[in-house]
Amino acid sequence: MEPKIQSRIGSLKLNNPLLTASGTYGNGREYSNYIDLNCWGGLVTKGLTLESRSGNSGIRIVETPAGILNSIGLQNPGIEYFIKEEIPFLEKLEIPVIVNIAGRRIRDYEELTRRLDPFSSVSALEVNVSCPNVREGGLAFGSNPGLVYEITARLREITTKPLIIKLTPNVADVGAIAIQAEKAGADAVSLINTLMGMEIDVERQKPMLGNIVGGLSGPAVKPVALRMIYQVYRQIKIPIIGMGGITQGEDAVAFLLAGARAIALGTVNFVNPRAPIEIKNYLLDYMHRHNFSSLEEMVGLAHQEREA
Amino acid sequence: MLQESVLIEKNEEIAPGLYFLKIKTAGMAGQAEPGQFIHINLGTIYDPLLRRPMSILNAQGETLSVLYQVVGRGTRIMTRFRPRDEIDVLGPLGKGFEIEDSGQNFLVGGGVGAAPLVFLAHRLIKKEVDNKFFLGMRERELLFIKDFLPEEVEFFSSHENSPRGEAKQVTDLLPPHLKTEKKTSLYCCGPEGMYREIASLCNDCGDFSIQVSIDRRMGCGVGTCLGCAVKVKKPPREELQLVRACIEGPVFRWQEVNIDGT
Repeated sequence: MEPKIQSRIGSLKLNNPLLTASGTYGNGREYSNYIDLNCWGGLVTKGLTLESRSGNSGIRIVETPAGILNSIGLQNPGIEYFIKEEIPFLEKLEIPVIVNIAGRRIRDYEELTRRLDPFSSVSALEVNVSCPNVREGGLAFGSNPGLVYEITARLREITTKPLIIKLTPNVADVGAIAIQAEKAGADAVSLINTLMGMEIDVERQKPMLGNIVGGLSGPAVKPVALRMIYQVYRQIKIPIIGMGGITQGEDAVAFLLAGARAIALGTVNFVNPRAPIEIKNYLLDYMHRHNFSSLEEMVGLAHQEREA
Repeated sequence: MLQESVLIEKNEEIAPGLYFLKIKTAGMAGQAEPGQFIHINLGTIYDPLLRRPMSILNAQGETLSVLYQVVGRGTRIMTRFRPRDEIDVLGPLGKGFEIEDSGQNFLVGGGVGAAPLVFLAHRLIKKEVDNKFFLGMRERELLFIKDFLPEEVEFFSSHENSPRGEAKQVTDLLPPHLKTEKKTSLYCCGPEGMYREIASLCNDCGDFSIQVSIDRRMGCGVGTCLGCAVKVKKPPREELQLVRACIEGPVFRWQEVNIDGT
């Protein structure tokens, strides 16, 4: 019998645990030339703000050892355009669509939630309180447990759609923030967003990125992400969507074993558009080999010996 | 646009540090347009991570070729590709040159980045007009790119070590040819400083249209990472907007590009 790889995030049912990581997949359109988007468990859109944003100037992406640094700066055309031009495309997908929202003020998040709530094609919201590349909002919210509680609680009043709070690794205690999100009524947390970093062009004696600092992603961050998911799993009961450098099947399995109920693929999409298919096949094969009949049996399994 | 596992036919060092890579891919070769690029997976999985974007030097029948200079870790790894190896390639990507109806065509290239103009030259000779190819290289040894050109193209070259009195920069070659009544299309590949100079030479000179290929650091190559943003002015209101070198480019009309603002 084929192992069951369906997963659940609150009321959100996923055919498989693989999601796109926000900001690495546009709104899916570009990759639809290369793969069937319905092979994903769900699609998480590029970060959306109320007004359009042109993003940061200068060099925005730099390759680093086993990773990349980016400082795009939440470039997006704003909610007006999204509703008019992107929702009709997303509506046609057979998989859940999770819209990632970002703002400068709490009321930006509230307004975005209010505008998106009526659309049945928007299955859930991922609340980005962790973008390292914008000056206001973003990380400033995500590193403050009280503000994460407040944003979550306010959005909870506006929508019954699943709320996923996307957490930053750029804090001393990510667990404390996850706990506040859970308390305020979040359905899940997703982690990690990128790790803040920089690179210097030694020939020109200048920072490489136009924005000076950027977010590190790719295989280089995987052990950090895995550790954070492992720790947060012990602190909250709501599901974790794990991400951070997943490149191959083994990486994906490790995240599930650490406690993630779903996983997102980000930077790997830039390199291998077929990654979700390859990783899904690996997962099925792995479950066969280890006699797992459902994903449920695997989630958090790496914790069992300690607990025994 | 395809993602394909393709066979390598050739990967040879044809000048110091400069390689000619030829792959077999009927699908991509058939679709490719001059100015487009392919995105090569190095096969390293974790590190270096990203694909390497390479302009198409030529596409004929079932094969497609690129020229690359060894400049870093990625290109050094590419030198280890052997005939009959399989590599994973995305392509053809981006928007190439628009072939215009003109009285004559000037192809102006600076450095190894001039490769796409070779492909373009093979297309342009099908039109019954004059095609002139101007190529500037740092060293004379690199001028052999002309070996890839069709015979019908008139060829002019410069290099930085030329003897006194001869052209050192490709832009030194242009002025006598710009005194023309003919509608002229300039297709340019090289550094952005070269484009600026070409544009100022053409100013008030005649009926010229200039297309340029813009080089940016790329991530995905398919339009999602937004790493390769280029600032352009869009008529009619000349509003500045950011577009992607990998989708809306890499070829742009010079008057649209706002280099200094990027």
